[in-house]
Amino acid sequence: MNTSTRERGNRRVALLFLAPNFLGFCLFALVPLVLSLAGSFTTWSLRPSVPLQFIGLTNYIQLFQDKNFYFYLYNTGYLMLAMPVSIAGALTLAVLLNQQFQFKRARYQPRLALTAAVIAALGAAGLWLTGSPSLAYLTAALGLVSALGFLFGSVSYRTFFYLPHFTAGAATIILWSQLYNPNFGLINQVLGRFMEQPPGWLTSTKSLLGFLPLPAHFNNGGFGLGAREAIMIMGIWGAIGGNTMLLYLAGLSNIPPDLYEAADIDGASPWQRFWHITFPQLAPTTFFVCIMGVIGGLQGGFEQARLMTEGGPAGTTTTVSYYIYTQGFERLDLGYGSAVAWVLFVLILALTLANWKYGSRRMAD
Amino acid sequence: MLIWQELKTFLRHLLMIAVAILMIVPFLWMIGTSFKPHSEVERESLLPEQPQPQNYSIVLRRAPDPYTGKLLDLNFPKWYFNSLFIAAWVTALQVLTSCMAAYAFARIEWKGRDKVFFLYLSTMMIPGLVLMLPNYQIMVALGLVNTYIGLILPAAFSAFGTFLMRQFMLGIPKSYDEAAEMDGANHLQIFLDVILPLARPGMITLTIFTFLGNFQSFFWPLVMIKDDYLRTLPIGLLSFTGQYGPQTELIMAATVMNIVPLIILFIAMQKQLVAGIQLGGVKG
Amino acid sequence: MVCSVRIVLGTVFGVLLALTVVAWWLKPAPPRDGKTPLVWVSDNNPERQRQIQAFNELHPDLDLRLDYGNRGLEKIIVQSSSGVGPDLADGYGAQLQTLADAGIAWDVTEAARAGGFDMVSNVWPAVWQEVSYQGRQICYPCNVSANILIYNKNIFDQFGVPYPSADLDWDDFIALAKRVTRVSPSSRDTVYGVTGLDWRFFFESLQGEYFSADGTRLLVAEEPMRIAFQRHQQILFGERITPTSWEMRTMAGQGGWGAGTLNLFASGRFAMMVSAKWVLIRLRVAHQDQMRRLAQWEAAGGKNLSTRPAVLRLGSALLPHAPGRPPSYRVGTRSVIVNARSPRREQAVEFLKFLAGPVYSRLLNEGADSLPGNPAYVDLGVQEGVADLAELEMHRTQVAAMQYGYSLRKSPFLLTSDVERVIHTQVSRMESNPDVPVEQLLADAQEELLRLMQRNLDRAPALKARYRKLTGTADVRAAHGRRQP
Repeated sequence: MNTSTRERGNRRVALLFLAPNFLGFCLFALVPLVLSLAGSFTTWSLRPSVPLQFIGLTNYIQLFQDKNFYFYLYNTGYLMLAMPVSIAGALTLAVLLNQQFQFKRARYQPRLALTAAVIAALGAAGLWLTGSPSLAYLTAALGLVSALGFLFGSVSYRTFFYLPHFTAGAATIILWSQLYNPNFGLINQVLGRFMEQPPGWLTSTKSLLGFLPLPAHFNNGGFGLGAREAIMIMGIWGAIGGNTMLLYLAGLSNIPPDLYEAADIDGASPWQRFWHITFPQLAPTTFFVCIMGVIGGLQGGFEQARLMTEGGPAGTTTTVSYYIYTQGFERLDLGYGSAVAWVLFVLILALTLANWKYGSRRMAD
Repeated sequence: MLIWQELKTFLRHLLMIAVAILMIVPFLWMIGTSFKPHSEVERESLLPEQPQPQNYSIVLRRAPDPYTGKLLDLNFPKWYFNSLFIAAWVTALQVLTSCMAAYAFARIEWKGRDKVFFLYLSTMMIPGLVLMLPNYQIMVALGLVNTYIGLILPAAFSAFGTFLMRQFMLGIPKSYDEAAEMDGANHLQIFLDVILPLARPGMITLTIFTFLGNFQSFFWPLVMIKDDYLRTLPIGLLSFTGQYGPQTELIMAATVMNIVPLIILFIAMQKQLVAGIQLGGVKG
Repeated sequence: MVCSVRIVLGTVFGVLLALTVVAWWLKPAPPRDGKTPLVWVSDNNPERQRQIQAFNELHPDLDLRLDYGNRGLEKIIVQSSSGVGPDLADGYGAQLQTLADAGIAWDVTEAARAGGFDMVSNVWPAVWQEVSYQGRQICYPCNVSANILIYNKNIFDQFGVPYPSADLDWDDFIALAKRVTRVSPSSRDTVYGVTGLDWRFFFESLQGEYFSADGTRLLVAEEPMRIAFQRHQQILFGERITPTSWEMRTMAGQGGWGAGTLNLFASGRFAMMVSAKWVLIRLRVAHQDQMRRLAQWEAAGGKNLSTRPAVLRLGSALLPHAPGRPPSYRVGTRSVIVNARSPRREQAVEFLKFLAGPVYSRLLNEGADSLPGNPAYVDLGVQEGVADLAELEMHRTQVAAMQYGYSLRKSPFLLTSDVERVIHTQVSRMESNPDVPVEQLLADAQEELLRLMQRNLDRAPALKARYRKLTGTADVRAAHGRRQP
C-alpha cells in the first residue's frame, strides 16, 4: 500500500473517530465562541429597544476606561492568592500521606483502634453527662476518625481529605455562609472565646492586603479578615485534599526509590530529600497544576459571589466572571459582557503562555 | 530502634487525625444541623436540644412540613434521579467521544493533526461564561430549553477529556498496535480491543472527574431548567425556601442524603482512581 | 479483567436507555380537563393559594397555578426571552421598568380600558409612575404600600417613654429613638430604637427624585440625596439608633422575605420599625406563638414575673416629616405583568382584571396584607383583627399615608435599577468606611451613572436623537455641566 493511499484512508478513519466529538465541539464551543466575539463588537442586548449595530471597539474602549473593571480584576487576582497555599497544602498532605502508616507489628493496629474508640467513647459520655453535648459529639467523631485511621491507614485519611471536594457547590456555599455568620456562626463562636472582636468575614471589606494604599473606589476597609479571606479559606478547604493532592500522590508513587536510597547513603536530611529529590521529580505535576490553577482561578469566584455575597460588601468579592454575569443578565448588555469575557480570555491565554514558557525552562534544568 | 520507628508512625497518625478532624468539622455541623428544628439552627451548639429526625422524612416527602402542615411542594427524590441520570448520560457520552477523538489524535497519523489538537486545547482556556449566552441562544433556536437533551448535550463534549485520554494513549506502547495490525485488525478493532482496555485506568479517572463535575454543575442547569420535574440537586437545594426564609435544616438533611452514597462510591472506587492517575501520569 | 469492551459499552448504553424510558415515563402529564393552564411566578406567601383559588372559582375555564421556584428578575427575563417564561410574573418597583424595557411586560393599556382596570380610573394616582412605561400601562398592582411607623408598645412602656405621635419631625424622631435604644454587649439585652430607617426615608421625606422632569438629568448629587446620605451616616455612626445593613443581615440570620427582621422585632430587639401593614401576616403568627407560651407559663403557676413571656402590643403612626415641610412618602407596589411572549396572554389578562376587583381586594384585607391596588375597594373586608396588634389603626394609618404619597420619576435614558444599584454600592461603601465624605460618594455615583447613561445613548440612535432634542446636546456630561449654577 503506498503512503498517500494509506494517509487518505487514515484521514477518513480519523475523521470518523473524531466526528462526534468534533461536531459537538463546533456546535457548542466554536460557534458560540465566534458569536460572542462578533457580539462584543456590537450593541448586542436583550433589550428590544436597542437595535443591533456594529460599533467596533467601543465596548473595549469603555471597558478599559471603566475604573471598576480594574477593581474587579484586583479582586480576581486577590482570590487567586489562595492558589499557592492550596498547592503547597496539597503537596504537603500528599507527602505526609505517602509515608509509612503500617505498624511493623501488625497487631498494634486493631489494638490502637480499639483503644482510641474506647477512650473517645468514655470521653464523649463524660462530656455529655457534664452538659457539653457539642464537645461530646466532637470527641466521638475524633474517636471514629482515629479508629478508622489506625485500622485502614492512609486510605481512610485520603477519604477524609477528599470529602470537602465532594459536596455539591451550592450546598457547600450555603454551609459555609452559615459558618461565617458573625454572630451565630460556628467560626466566630470559637474565635469569640479568644478574641474581643472576631472578624466580620462576609460582612467586612477588610482584607489581609488592606494595609496597601489602594485607590478609593476599591472600598478598602483596612487590614483584617474580610469577605475575600472567607472565600479563600473556603476554597482552600475544598481544594487542599482534592484532585491536586491525588495527582501529587500519583506523582510521588512514580518517583524511583533508588534516588532516595542514593540520598540516604549521602546522609541527606528529610528536608534535603524533599527539596532536592521529591520537589524536582514532581515538577511536571506542579507545572500542570499551576497552569490549570491559573486558568480556573481567573474564571472563578462566580458561584461564591452569586450565592454568598452578591459581589459585596461594597463590591469587594465581585470577580470578573461575576461582573460578566451581572452585565449580561442584570443589565441585559450582552455586547459589553462579551467584551469583558474576551479580555479575560486574552489575559488567561497570555498568562498561560508565560507560565508554560517559564515552566518548560525550569523543567529542562 | 524499632520502638522509635513505631513511635514515628504513631505520631504521623496523630498528625493526620488532627488534619482530618479539621477538614470534617463543617460536615459535623452539617449533620448536626440536619437534625435540628428550625428555631435551633442559629444556636451555638453542634447538636440539637430537641432533635427532629423528621427533617429527613420531610425532605423525602413522607412527612409534612411543620410550618405549612402539608407535604413539601418539592420533589427531592426526582431531583436525585435527575442529577444521576443527566450525569450518567454526560459521562458516558463524554468518555466515549473523548476516547474516540483521543484515538484519532494519538494513534492515527493524518495531516494537520497537531494543529487541530492545539485548537481543541485552546478552547479549554475560554471562560465558560463567554460561551454561556450564545449556547443558550442556540438551545433556544433548537427548542431544547427546559429539556433533558438540552442539559446533556452541551456538557457531553469536552476538550479536557480528549486531552486527558490522549496523554494516556500516548503512554501505551505502539508495539500492541503493531501486533494487532499484523493480525489484520483495522482501526476500529484496534481501538476497541487493544487501546481501550489498556486505557481503562484513564477512562475510569475521566469517568469519575466528569461524573462529579457534572453532578455539581450549577450555572447551566440554573439557566436551562424551568419545571420542577427537571430540577437537579444543586438547583433543587435552592428552592428550600419556606415562607419565612431558607430552611437550612432541610437543606442540610438533603445534602447529607446527597453525599453519603457518593462517599460509598468513592471508597469503592478508591483503588482504581488513584491507579488511574498513577498510570496516566501527567506527562507534558 | 477479561470482560470485552464491547460488552461493557453495550451494557452501559443499554442501562442508560432504560433509564431514559423511566425518565420519560415519570414526566408529569398536563391536565386533560380542558382548562387553560396559567403560570404565575410570585413568592410563597401563604395567602397566594387563597387568592388563586378565588380566581379559579371565578374562571372555570382557566387553571392558575403558582410557581415560586422561578422567581428572580433575570430568570424571568431569560426564560421569557427563550419562550419558556411564565404567563404572569411579579415585579417590584424598578423591576417593572426593566421588564418593560426588555420587551417582556405586555402593554395592557387597551386591554385595561376594555377590562376596567386601567390606571387612571382604577389605580392610586401616587403609583401611576410605577405601573406605566413611556406612558403605557404595563401591569396592575397586587398591593400598594407606603411605609409607616410601627412600634412595640411594650418597649416604650419598659423605658417609660411616651408613644410616638403623628407630628414628629426628623430630629424629634431621632431623639425619641435614642431614648429607646440600649446597646449592650449581650445581644439578648440589646434594643435598637428603630429598624428599616435609612437614606431612603430621608430622601423620600424631601420628595427626592433621581431624574429631572424630562428624564435627561441625574439629580443624584443634588441636595436631597446629599442630605439623605448625611442623615444615614448620622443615625448609623453618630446616634447609633439602628444597626448597619450588614449588621442587620447577620442579626437576621436566615433572611428571606423580611422574616429575620420581623422575628427580631417580634422578640423585642427593635422598638420601632419603618415598614408597612404587610408585616401583620407574619406578626399574627408570632403573636399566636407568644400567646401560647403565655398560656403555658400561666398553667405552670404564673408566679415568676421575670420569666413572663412578652406578648407583642403594637401601635402605628405616620412616619416623621422633614423639618418645615409637609409629610412625603414614597409609595411602592408589587405588580403583576403579563408576559408579552406568552401564547396565553389574552387569558392571562383576566388575572389583572381580578386584581382590580372586589373579591381580591377583600381577600387582601382579610389577610392583613398591604392595600389593594384599587382605591375604590380599600376598606372592603377590613376587620378588627387581633386587638394587641392594633390592626385597624394600622390600616387607617396606611390609608392616611397614601394622601402624601408619590412614586419616583423614571427616565427613558437610564434604568432606575441601575441608579439604585450604583447608589447601593456607595451606601455599602459608606457603611464600611465612615471617613469618606458624602460629597465624594455621590460624585462617584454620579460619575458612574453618567457613564452608563452615555453608553445607553451611544447604543440607541433614536434615544440619542431624543436626548439631543431635549437638551441640545448628545453628551450627557455637557448637559449636566450646562445646567449647574
